Amino acid sequence: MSNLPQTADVVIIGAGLMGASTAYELAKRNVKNIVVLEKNAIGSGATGQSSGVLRGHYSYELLTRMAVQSLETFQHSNEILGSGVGYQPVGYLFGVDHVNIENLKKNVEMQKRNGVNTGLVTMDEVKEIWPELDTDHFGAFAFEPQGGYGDPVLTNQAYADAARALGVIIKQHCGVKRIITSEDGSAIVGVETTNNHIISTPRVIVAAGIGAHHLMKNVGVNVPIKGQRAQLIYISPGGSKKNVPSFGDFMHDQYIKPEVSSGHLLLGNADHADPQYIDPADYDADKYLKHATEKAIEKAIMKFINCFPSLENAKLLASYSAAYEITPDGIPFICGTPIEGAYLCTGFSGHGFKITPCVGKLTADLILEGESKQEGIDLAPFRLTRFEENDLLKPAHPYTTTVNSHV
Amino acid sequence: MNMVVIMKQTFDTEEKITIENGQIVKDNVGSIMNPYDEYAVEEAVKLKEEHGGEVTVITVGPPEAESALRTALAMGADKAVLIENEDQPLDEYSIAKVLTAAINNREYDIILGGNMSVDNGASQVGPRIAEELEIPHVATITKLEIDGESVKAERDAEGDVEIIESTLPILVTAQQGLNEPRYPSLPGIMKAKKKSLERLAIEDLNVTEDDLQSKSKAVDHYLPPAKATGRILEGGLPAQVEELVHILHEETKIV
Repeated sequence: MSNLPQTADVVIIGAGLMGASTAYELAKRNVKNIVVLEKNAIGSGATGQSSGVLRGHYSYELLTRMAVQSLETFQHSNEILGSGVGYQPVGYLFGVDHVNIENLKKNVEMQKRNGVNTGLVTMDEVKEIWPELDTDHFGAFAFEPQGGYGDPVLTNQAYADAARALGVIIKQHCGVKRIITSEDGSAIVGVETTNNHIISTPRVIVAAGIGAHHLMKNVGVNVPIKGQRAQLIYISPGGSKKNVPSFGDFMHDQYIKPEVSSGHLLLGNADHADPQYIDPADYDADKYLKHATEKAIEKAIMKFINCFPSLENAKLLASYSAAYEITPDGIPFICGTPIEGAYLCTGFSGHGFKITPCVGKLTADLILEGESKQEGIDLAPFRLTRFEENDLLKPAHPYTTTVNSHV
Repeated sequence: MNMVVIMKQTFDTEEKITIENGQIVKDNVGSIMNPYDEYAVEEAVKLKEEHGGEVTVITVGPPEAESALRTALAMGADKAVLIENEDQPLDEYSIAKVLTAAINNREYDIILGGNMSVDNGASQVGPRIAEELEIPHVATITKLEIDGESVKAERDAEGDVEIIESTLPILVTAQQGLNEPRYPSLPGIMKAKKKSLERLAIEDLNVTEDDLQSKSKAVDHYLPPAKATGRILEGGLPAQVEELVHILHEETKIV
């Protein structure tokens, strides 16, 4: 461990998207001696399992603003980060049932006001966008031509490379055994790695996904997050070879992400009515189901068949289960904690990728300025105490179709 | 022409396998159709498409093995038979006896199976059944042609190809390369849920107590030892050779 320093100005735990983008933003603002500790490899946690959908479509104005600000980095990553992030502007289609038509209209207005290139599209226009999609039971659609998807692993690597170029040390396969506080527990003094190396530091940013739970519990802070299984299937749709958009289907509660190079589709379940949680301790011990259940596969197939009845030659290629961390309200923690110098950047609840660039900037703001410097983006909704204060972020026009509506 | 495919559900070898107290821990590990059996199912469905007839898939296993049978039905098999067995410890000898009893009263022209299961890797059940039924068998085939009653198969033989001619009825076991198993279609998967699946208990079959007595038992299960780190010899060629010889003589004592 000779290449790990004894001291650091900031230690970031976790080299996923959030840890890497935060490291980069801090380094860009001349913070020196930043060390990122990653228990596995860069992007090997929730980042590597992300579907990578990019959209400005949220019912939360705050998240819409974060997605809009972030899109610029995805579009111009070569100039900004020095490498590509696999941005594919295949468009983002969003469909709702009849009950949610008014909500959709209100949300699209809100999104436009905040700079999303979006608009309602007619059923005929949808037929142009995706000829095989059966629009019959849908109430209305919106379409964002600049939405689509990016590659979370490439994005993670781009941030990691850019951070390293600015002097950040990223140590992979080096987990954190414990966060060390002062004797009275009031302030951070360092971290101890799994190979018993101690780094003295006044600031620790916990960007460790589900792992944040036990790391903070050990220093007496309860972070209410747990794991949730997301079960996905890969299919070959058959049919026309036309490029299709990413699709948020709020009629059937599913999302679909195309893969331009293969023409394959990734189908995910957006129905959180029957969530499969993973206890953080089981997640840490790697004891949870890693594959999709037959029931989940069947459900995904039925949803797809209902949506695309003409694609009779669609083939099931594979299925898998990803695990991501989820907070009680589906909104992340980007905040300080009762311990001076301990910060959280976790709890992205399956929708962190598209706001990554903004999160890095916000976390850097939080550490260096104590408040957000991003226009129109308030940090308060991301604080840890929001539950006990009963002050949760609420969208003006939430969709009624998902139980855990963090869209 | 009627095809019977003997198959097995195994754990997914792409998942992390853990062993506790000499047993494989099956919690949280996915189950799949034994990959070699996929070749057998594909070949049977191709034969049906070419010659007509019916494909019946048979397995001995726990109730959960139904999902592997359903996958075969989704690929195009017509009927499935699940011989349920949860507690009785069976080995290749006794499984062959049970499957033989299940196949004996059915019409078949060809029986297909994988050349081995990826969990136990014994490669015995297929040939044992052929012996029990007194029909010819060809193992680890990579090509199969059937013309009337005559059968021509190619098999892997230590890097060479052996071409074998025989006649129906016959049992063959499939090796990788025989075909490219199809992905089931989404409508096919949903239809497979409604296809007939016959459930049998071992007691329903004409097998004796002796038949069910395993001839072998697993003494232990263990994972292969972790690979040691490699070592790259440095210096000029003569120096590298000298060091290698030294290592072989003195350290590993192989030579």
